[in-house]
Amino acid sequence: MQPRKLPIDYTLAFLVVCFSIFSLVGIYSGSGQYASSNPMLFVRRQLVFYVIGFILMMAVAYFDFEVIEKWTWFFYGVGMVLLLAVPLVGVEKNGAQRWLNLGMEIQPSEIMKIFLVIHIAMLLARAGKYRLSFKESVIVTSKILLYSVVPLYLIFAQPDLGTTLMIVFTLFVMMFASSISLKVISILTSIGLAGIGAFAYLYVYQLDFLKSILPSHQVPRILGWLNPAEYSQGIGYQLQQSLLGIGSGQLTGAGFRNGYQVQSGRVPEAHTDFIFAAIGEEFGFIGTSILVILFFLLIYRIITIAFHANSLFGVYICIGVIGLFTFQVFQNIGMTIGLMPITGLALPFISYGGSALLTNMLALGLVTSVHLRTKSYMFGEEETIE
Amino acid sequence: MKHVSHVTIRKRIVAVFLLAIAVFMVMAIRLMIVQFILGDKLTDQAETSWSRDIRFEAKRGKIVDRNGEVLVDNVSAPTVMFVPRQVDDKEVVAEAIATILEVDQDLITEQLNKNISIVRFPEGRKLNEDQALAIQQLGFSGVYLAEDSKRYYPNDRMLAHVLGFSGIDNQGLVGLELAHNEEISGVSGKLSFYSDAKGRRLPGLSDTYQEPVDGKDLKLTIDYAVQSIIERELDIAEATYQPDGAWAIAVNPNTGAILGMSSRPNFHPDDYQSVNSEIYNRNLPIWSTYEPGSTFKIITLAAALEEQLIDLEKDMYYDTGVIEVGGAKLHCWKRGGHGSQTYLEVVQNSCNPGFVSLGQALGKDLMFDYVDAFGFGEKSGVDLAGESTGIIFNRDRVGPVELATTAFGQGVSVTPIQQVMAVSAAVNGGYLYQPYIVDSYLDPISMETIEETAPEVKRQVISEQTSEEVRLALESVVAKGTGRGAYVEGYRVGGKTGTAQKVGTNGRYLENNHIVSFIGFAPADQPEIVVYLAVDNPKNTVQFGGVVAAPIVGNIIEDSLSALGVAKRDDGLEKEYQWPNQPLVEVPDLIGLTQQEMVSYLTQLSIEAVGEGTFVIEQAPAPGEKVPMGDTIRLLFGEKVNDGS
Repeated sequence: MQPRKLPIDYTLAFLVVCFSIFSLVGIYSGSGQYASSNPMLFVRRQLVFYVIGFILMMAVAYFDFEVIEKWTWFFYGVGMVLLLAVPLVGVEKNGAQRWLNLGMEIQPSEIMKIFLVIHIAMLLARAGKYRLSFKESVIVTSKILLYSVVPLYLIFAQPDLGTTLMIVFTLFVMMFASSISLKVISILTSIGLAGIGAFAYLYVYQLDFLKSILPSHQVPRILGWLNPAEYSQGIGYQLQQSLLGIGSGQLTGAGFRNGYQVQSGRVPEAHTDFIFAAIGEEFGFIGTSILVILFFLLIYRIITIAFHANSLFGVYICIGVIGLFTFQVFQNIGMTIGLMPITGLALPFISYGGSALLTNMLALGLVTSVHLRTKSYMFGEEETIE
Repeated sequence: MKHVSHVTIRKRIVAVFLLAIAVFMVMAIRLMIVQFILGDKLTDQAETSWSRDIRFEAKRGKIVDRNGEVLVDNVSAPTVMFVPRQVDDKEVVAEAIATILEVDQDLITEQLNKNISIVRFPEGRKLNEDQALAIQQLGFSGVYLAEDSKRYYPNDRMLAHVLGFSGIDNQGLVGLELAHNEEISGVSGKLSFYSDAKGRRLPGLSDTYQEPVDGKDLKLTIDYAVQSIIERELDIAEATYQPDGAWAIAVNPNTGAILGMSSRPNFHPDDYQSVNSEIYNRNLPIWSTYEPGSTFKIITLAAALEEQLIDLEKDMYYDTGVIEVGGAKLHCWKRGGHGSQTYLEVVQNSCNPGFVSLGQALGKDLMFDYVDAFGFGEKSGVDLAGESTGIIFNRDRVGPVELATTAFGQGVSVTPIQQVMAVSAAVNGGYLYQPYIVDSYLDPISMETIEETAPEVKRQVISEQTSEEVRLALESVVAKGTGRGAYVEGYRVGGKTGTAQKVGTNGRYLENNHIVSFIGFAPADQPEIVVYLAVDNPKNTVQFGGVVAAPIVGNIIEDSLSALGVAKRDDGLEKEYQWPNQPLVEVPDLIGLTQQEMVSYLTQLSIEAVGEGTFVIEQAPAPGEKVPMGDTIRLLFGEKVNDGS
């Protein structure tokens, strides 16, 4: 048997290893309050997820992603079935029904977001690389809306505003990078801005009306983010405690396992949603800036892969993955430092959680696959650059 | 083979990348703001929310007299507190604690069920030693004893107005306790345990104990012996005369240090709630202002001597009993006047017209220059709260009448401390001192002096020589004049009586309601103590300083100088004893006279008064009888005169 190269992009793999260190350290520190008798419990599990995830990434990378292009319908269908099963037989936690128990608990929205990205990437790739006319653009856009509106509604209704917004953002970025006419992009942007404007107007002038149309559990989250003092007992409290933690970390941090905010349980969910607060408090700006730089390098690496990719489908997959990661990172870090309202979005690769980690590794597998297929056309590419 | 590396696609990828850069920049900037700019503020906020502290109160500094005698002490009075989340069996704990504290069990149960991290409650404070020990022996988890103390006053009411008192949180509320609160309160210590969000101990982090730093001791200039003597004499005066009030103050004229100070009514610092707040808020020796009366003549005398306007022995004054000033007739207190006198006799007799003549000789400007120079009309600057300024005539409005009345102590309004300091200046060689009562702060452990008050001379008002003349003149007042009651064998007491009229609510002088006072000093050759005493509206007596106040000051001076170890003199003026070889005097007809009108007979006869009222309705012995000088006439006062004279 001929020795084969491992299906790995070493830059991505290196970043994943760095993330895993941050993740395991952060989880060990942040989970102490929940599992003081067995502090390694969550760390071990996450390590297992990382190992599985790494294998999954290599496995996905091993396959030619172009084959997947023909199967996107199938994946989309599987995702939809899972998603539709959630309101019927899903597990409810903390007032939200997002999980399915299939031996282990999985979160269909996590899987669906990747499948939807693949499917939309396929649709956009079919539209070709040249600028579409306005009419063609409207048709493509309508198709995209058609495929995404049902899953988006199902996810929104779980309720999971964070994931819904993440997918909307991702699809928008993908369309922005596609051949769709800039006119349509401008219209969509305008609609989006108008929505934000309308929200702002309602918030300032018609607060009661706004409260009445928002889902009840979102009212304190959104209003608490905009006005933490007034909601300091609930959502505002979480934000306040996480801000105190990150702020008190200052440059060097309190040190591993020494962050009082985290260790005393004042920072909620310190090993999952608020793991960034744990890292910020215990490792200070040095820790947080290294982590942010790692995320940036991740985005940069995927951009580079997209830049060199030979396949439009591959480019759009990369852009979609960038959209997912960027939104999650910004949203998660943003909510711990008061930039964004608090949602349940985890920090990719860092927060404890198998579903999310495996999904993210799967996404990286796809990107790796794009990269590996690109490499084989290296010589050809030289000719095409004009 | 599809090549999509088309420029347009690449442009869009770059655009996406730029978008990502923008997003990361926003995040990084916000992160820097939170961790660097807001970092310090957030750290402070966080730290205060982390630790649960059990306070260990610092002991307040003791207050001691100039010799280290303890005036205010502390006794241990621990506080019991609960950390409800650490208490295992609330029923058992509640029962045991309730028994020890002798309170209802439900009350303790209620405290134990409070949803706060540390429960402190009034019934659990200021426990005695036995209760504390009993609780300690229970050894319950979640029940903490924190050291605390409460004030103990070994001398009960002594010096209460000056000392003031402190509240349950060991904070000074009134008096020196308040004024020097910062220095004597110390810094409380604490036992901190880091807790999680639910108030449970965090096992990973160790408790820290920060020892309390006890407050500095406060050493006063007060002399325990002098103060005790003053308290004793005021108690006797209060019992004898049932006055509306009484106050006394003793200073060392050579430094301005206050040796003793007290007033009636007084209170017990442990029980201040039971009296009206006016009683503990008003430290009468520095608060009350009133017309000084004749004691103020010392100022006029000193001014006239300093200006060399008179020779006490040679210059004569003829007192007709009245002097006309600016169209108004000012009467001498003795009807018919004192006749021809030397100015020394004017002083001895406290002759009003004589002093008016001195005031006129000085003139408005000089008179009021001296009044100002002796410190009237301005606060003495004593280191006690609640001092009054007094009221002196506005110089622009002073006419001949105001000048004349000021010369014998009417129309001006002064405080006791001002009088004491002015007289101190008049007799100590001329130096006006700033009075003070805090000698120094002491380190509570080493007892070393930390910060000492230095005597402060405000100015020299009169010369040493004038001062000596004043001393001798005032010594003769006690030996031969109106101040005879203050005479102390061997201590050369000098002094001056005062009978001040009080202004009523209608703006007119009250009848039969005087503040009688005496200011004395000794020894006259080199004064060691100046004592001022005033009794407000004494009952069952004639209201004259020479009758009521002088003997008390005499007692205070005698006992105080003895306690201070001042040697007796043998070169003083002899008291003019009127008996055994004294002429008999005819008992005058006093029936129908008011107290005011009787004054002239008092240098020759003593009076024992009974009953309440304006007029004399009975007297014994009867008018016309001959009795030895100094004999006692018993008078019955009433409102109506029997034989309408």
